[in-house]
Amino acid sequence: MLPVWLAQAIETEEERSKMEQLYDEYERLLYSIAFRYMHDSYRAEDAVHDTFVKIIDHLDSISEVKCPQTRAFLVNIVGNICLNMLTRKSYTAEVYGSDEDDRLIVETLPDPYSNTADMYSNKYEVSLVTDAIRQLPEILQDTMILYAAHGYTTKEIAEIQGCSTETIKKRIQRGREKIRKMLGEDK
Amino acid sequence: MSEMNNLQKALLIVEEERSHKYDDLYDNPEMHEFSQKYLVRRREIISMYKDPQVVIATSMSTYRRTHKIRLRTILVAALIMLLATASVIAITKPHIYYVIKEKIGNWTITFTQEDNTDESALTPVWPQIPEGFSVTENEATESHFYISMEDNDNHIIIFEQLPPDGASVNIDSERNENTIGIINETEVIISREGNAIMMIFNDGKYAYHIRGNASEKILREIADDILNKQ
Repeated sequence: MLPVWLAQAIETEEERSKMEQLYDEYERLLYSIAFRYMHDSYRAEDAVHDTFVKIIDHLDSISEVKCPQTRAFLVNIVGNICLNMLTRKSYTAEVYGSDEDDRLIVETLPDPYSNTADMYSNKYEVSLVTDAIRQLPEILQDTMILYAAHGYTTKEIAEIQGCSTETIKKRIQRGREKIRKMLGEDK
Repeated sequence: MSEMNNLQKALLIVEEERSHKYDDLYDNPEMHEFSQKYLVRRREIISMYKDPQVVIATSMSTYRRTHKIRLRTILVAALIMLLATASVIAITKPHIYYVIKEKIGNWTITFTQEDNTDESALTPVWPQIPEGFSVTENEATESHFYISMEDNDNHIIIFEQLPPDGASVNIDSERNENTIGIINETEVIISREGNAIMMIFNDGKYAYHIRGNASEKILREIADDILNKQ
């Protein structure tokens, strides 16, 4: 479930202007996608609103408003938010993710932007890594994209996808392992 | 941000590829006049820079603000419920009870089984996969079996098998219409919100939780299939 209050910060006039441009360029597209999922105009609007709220803290990763990458980023977020709204539930610690394995994963997850994290992929051509990612289930792709490509924290992704942070950590772990395996790496 | 590694580059390529399935909507978006509620929230976000004290609410909190009167009613109801601490409302098969605690805005349903001494790991019960759907994710642990299915029309179904004692599920009691139905002679808690449906039931050995935006008929067939396996 989404937290009740989110206090983000648009810190500069440049960011405010960028936010306005993003609305102007993409809100109709995002609404159209959300409506396909929700079949309800009010809930589709809610999904669009939540999408813009979720990107406020990641505006610096958007270098250009009108470009395929930004469009893809927003499409990804709104899709995940819609799926979450359709299947919203709260996870309980008794059943989900309080075991030793989860704690181990917490300790071993690397910082996505550190120089060492995921650098194994640099041994391979981008096209090979891309082929490996294409074979992952979409839910793992989404989680990996938000985490490793856009710098979302596991907590932020858990809020977007509507599951526990432990589940997100497991998905990241599984995604990494599958990619490495497909690239021929043992570990 | 430091220079992107090849994994990050590849992830962005895949993200962009996947977004192309919405090219038609980019060129021809739905004709829609946004509601006043949406436009007010849009202005709130844009004006945050001018007034950094503005706090932006997600759809959930805005919904709560606009339903204060109803919330007060629920609050009173919740206080009454607090005095009663908890209510046990349904017994479907012997031994598994649903203990429902009403909180503001949601119910927590906890499965409980008297004299449960079975500590063995959960044995996954695979549901039938509806025609047109394929499994996109599945995970089995000692206490939880989870399957996600999806078809080509953005319909998803999440199936979960839970232990008979101690697991719990939350239901939104503000937005959802919650009823009890009968499937295969078994009482099933059914929660509906728009085109999203959730079903909770048990077969005397495990509790099950199915939810998604597929038709109710499809979800009922999955529940029926599980109950036939007992």
